[in-house]
Amino acid sequence: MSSEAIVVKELRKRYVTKKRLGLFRSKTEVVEALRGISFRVRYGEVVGLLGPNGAGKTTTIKILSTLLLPDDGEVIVGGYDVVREANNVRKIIGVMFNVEKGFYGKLTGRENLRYFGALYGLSSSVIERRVNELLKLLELDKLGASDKLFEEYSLGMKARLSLARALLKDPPILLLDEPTLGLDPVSARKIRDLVKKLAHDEGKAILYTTHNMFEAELVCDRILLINHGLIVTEGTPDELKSRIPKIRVISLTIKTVNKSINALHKVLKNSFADVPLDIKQLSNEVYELRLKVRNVEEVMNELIRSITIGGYEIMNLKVEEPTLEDVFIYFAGSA
Amino acid sequence: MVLRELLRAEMLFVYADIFRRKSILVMYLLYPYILTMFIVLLGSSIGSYQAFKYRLGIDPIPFFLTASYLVMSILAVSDDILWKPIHDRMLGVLPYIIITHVRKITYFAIIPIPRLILVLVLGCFVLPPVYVMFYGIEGLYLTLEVVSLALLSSILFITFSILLVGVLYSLGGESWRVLNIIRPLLMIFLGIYYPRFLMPTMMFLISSILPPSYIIELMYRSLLKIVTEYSYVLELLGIAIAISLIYAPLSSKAIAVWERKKVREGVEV
Repeated sequence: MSSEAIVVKELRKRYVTKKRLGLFRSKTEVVEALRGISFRVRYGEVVGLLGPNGAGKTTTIKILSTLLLPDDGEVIVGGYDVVREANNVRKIIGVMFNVEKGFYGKLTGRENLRYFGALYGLSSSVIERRVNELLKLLELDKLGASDKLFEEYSLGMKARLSLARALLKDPPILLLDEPTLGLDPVSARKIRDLVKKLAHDEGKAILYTTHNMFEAELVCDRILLINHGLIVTEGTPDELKSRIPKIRVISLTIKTVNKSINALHKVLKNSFADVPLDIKQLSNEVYELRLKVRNVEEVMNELIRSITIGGYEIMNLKVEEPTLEDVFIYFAGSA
Repeated sequence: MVLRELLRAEMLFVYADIFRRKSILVMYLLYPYILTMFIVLLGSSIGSYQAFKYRLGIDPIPFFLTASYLVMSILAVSDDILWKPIHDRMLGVLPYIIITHVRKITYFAIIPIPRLILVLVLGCFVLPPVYVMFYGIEGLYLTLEVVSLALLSSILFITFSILLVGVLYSLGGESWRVLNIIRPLLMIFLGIYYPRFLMPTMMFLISSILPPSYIIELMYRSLLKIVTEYSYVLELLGIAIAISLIYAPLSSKAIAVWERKKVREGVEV
């Protein structure tokens, strides 16, 4: 078996929509959802597709899961072409879309899983075993949700059930579209931990879309940054951070001790003319200063000297490394 | 195995809903009586009960009870098949149905079976009281005959209903408005409330493309005590089965076209 679970080459998709302008007039609009994206996902890794709303994340997942035909390009999932061998692709993938819906409200969680198990062609004994295992794994039995009607589920329970369905056939490839969107922190963490475990311990290939930077950094081994239908950069979270200009933020909390903050502002402006400086009052006589600098070592001594000579008291000092959010803003802004 | 598991799944889906909402079960039991009462009361207010008996040679109550039961059993098939894609789309289940590797024609053919079984069982409770009252012990045989023919006509309607789903939804998307127009038309052309052999030519021709209409004609001939040759009975049965079988490959094709159209447009998630 090849180590590559998903291979996408020059994938393109455009939507043609008709916008009604009046009773008889309409205008055709073409939206380029994907403009030739290429990437690979290997077994045993979680690859994040990170991008803002409308970037093309769901379109990509829909094409990979055979729910949408591409216009151009090649998409191979588990060795099968998604257009010509859609039925084979369907046998080896587990998908999770909008967690709020996708189940029958009048059936319990257990019954819904049994229903989809049968639709996926599993035998009764396998269905029973898998359903019990998954209800336990996702702690739905612990939450008392296994035999509760789906319409009575909280969003967190719905998301867990949705992941349980994706895992019913124990597929080697998982396509998860914003699986933690709108979830409470406990459920979100449960799902993130499980996703990592499934990839690293069980060797599943997981494509995980999100627009949450924090989550992408926590879950994904590699990240593909997508914007306006293009992958603008890709790499591990650390690699991505290293690709943006080394701007760090020096954050200081200072106490003015009967002195004017304006005086300090003037001194710092003179000493660091080119450095962007923000001052925010936190409480009486306590201020937060934030300076964005390229070389921390060059600035630090002079900065501390300027503050202490002026008679100000430094209560706290920290240097913030660039976050994935900075990476995202940097690359998304340039796309 | 796929068939058995699919049937189990659909049974779970239908019965869980029906047995949790007892009102639905009660409605199923009362439906033929309520419809019969409504038709007979309406008919009596604008026409004559006796005239109906004189012209058709049957009391309107068993006649319309049979008709209403037939409506219920045929609707069990057509409604389940025709409405399922709309229902699934609204609940967000459709993408998960589309990505199953089970053949969609098999899936659609299985959909109406659980409700049909329920309707047939209910028929054994709903029909005998009235039939026995009107025909004595013979009413029990009539029940058996009506339930068996209802089963046959409903099963023969499966392929046509799937064909209709494929064609309608491929042309215009999953629209409940269109279904609301088609549903009563089907009931008319099937010859349930207006026996097929009394229809004007144009209506009769349309009715001829619907397999259950032949079985329904057979049922009314039996109910109205119209002497029918054995060969004609076989002829009607044969035509109904043949038409239904002709629709099978067409319906498979139509469902495949609908699925391709959905995937081309992108299934809503």
